Amino acid sequence: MSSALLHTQNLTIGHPKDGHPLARNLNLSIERGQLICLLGPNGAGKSTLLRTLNGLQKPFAGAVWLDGQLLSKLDPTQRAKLVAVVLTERVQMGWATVQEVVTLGRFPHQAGWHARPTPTDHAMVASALQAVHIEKLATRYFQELSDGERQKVMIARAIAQQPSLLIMDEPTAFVDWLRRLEIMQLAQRLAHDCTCAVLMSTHDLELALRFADWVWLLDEDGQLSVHTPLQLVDSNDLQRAFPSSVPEELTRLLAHIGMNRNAG
Amino acid sequence: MNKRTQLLWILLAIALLFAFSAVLLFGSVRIPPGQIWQAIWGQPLTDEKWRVIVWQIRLPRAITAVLAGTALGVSGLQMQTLFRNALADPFVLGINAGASFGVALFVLAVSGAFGAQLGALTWGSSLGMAIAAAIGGGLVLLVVLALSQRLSPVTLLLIGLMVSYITGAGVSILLHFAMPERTQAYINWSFGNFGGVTTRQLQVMTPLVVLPLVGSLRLAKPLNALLLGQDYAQTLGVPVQRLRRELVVLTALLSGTITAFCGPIGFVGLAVPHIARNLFRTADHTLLLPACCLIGAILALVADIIAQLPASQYTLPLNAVTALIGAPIVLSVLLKLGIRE
Repeated sequence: MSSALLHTQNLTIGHPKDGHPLARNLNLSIERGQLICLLGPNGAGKSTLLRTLNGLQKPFAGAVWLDGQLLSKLDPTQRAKLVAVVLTERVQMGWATVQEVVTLGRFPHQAGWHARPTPTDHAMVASALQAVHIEKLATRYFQELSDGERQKVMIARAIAQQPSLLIMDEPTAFVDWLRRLEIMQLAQRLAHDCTCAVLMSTHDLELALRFADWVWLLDEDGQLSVHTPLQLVDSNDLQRAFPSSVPEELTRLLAHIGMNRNAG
Repeated sequence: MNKRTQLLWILLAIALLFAFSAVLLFGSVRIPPGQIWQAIWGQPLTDEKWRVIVWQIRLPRAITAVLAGTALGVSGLQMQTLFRNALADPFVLGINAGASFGVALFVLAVSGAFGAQLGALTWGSSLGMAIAAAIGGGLVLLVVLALSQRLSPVTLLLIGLMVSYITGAGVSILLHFAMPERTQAYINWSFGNFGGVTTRQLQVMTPLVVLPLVGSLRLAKPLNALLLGQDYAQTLGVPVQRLRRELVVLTALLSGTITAFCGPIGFVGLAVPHIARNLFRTADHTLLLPACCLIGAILALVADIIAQLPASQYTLPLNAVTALIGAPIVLSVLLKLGIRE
């Protein structure tokens, strides 16, 4: 357990103001090199869980340990060097170029208020742009880009932050199918090639089952189950988590994936 | 830095020089430019009265305009970034109104010296007035900031407007119980004026503007991160709550000081950041902050020249002039936003 990049100890998530937590007593762990997809119906608390794991929101109860330290005790810069995020909120950057937005990812690595980007900063930004295949957009203005391109810029910005853990909240929402595939491939490559872990929420069941090393399934009752994609297909948890979804669709999808497995 | 940016800096510097000289040149008394030059460098003049005019009236006036424009431009930029709202500025958010209330309260309650001109105030009471204005402005800003969580930009402006009405009502009540001549003095002050600041008051005003300005320039990089929104900024390691507090204090000091000494001046804070962004085509605060200083100073000087109606016996209220220059700029921004949505 101590080797885990992140682990939680009886973590309960939710807004204290709401009175009742969304999910209780979570004991989760994330290791470097893993791509973890968080699935679950709307309103189950996926975003709240992600926000709690990166420190944007305080735990209702319990604790989050990051790299052997309590997340709540880390200072902001230290935390920013360990965790980067891609959120769902729309960003408006005015006259900022893609290059400038991605360079913001270097903020926690730049000391002092006057510091100019160092050669390391430039190199990291360049490789982040390259990782997401948007080198050509570098000098374009952020506000002129399409939604899909903006999403990629935000991912590049997070990569430039050189995190040990990359947390993305529905990065595949609002982008076309090809881009979704691209983002999933990128997430997998980041997790498997680098020494970082990727945790992302998504509604894309099929892609999640195809790419994830682990699937965290959060259902409406706040139950979180952890499976490998194959275990998940064999279990009843999916049907339990999505009771309202079209059962035939789900069954067909699972059968399809099961077939692929048998074939492979 | 590319060619375009370099050229812009040079042009702005020249424009500032011209506008500053023009304020020295124009006034109710006609002084030859050569004589003004000689007065500044302490050389003998044809008429020694001119030396007094240059040193006691025109130089303080020009310096005040530069300080005011700089402070308001930077305040506006900070507010627009903090609230992520293209239409935020100290005036719109009600900070000026809060500062005015602070001034009215201080002058009417503490010193009975709301004399014919606020210029008659002593060193100590100038400082007191500026602090009262900063506290009034800061309190309003805190209220607006607390109310602004999760509200749309337009709602925020309406909140600012309502807060302005409330503090305005407070000022009205104070004035109602004040002496008529004091009321008149307050009304004169509320028109806005760069000419009412004496050399002695400048000694108070200058550090109260320059120190917060230095503080603001240091925040350029966290402000850039703040453009992404507070959540993103926090995950980048920006201590967002501390940054917000710092911005509140700096903006309250900057716009409070200007309000105390020059009256409530609208639209400069709103228009300057837009001019800066569109001229330099950047969102980078390391460029925008100094750009807002320069453009704010130029705009304030130009507004002052227009308000003086050179070659005439009359003057215009400064507030009216800044509104006439600033409002069309704001309108064009609004229309552009409308088209994009």
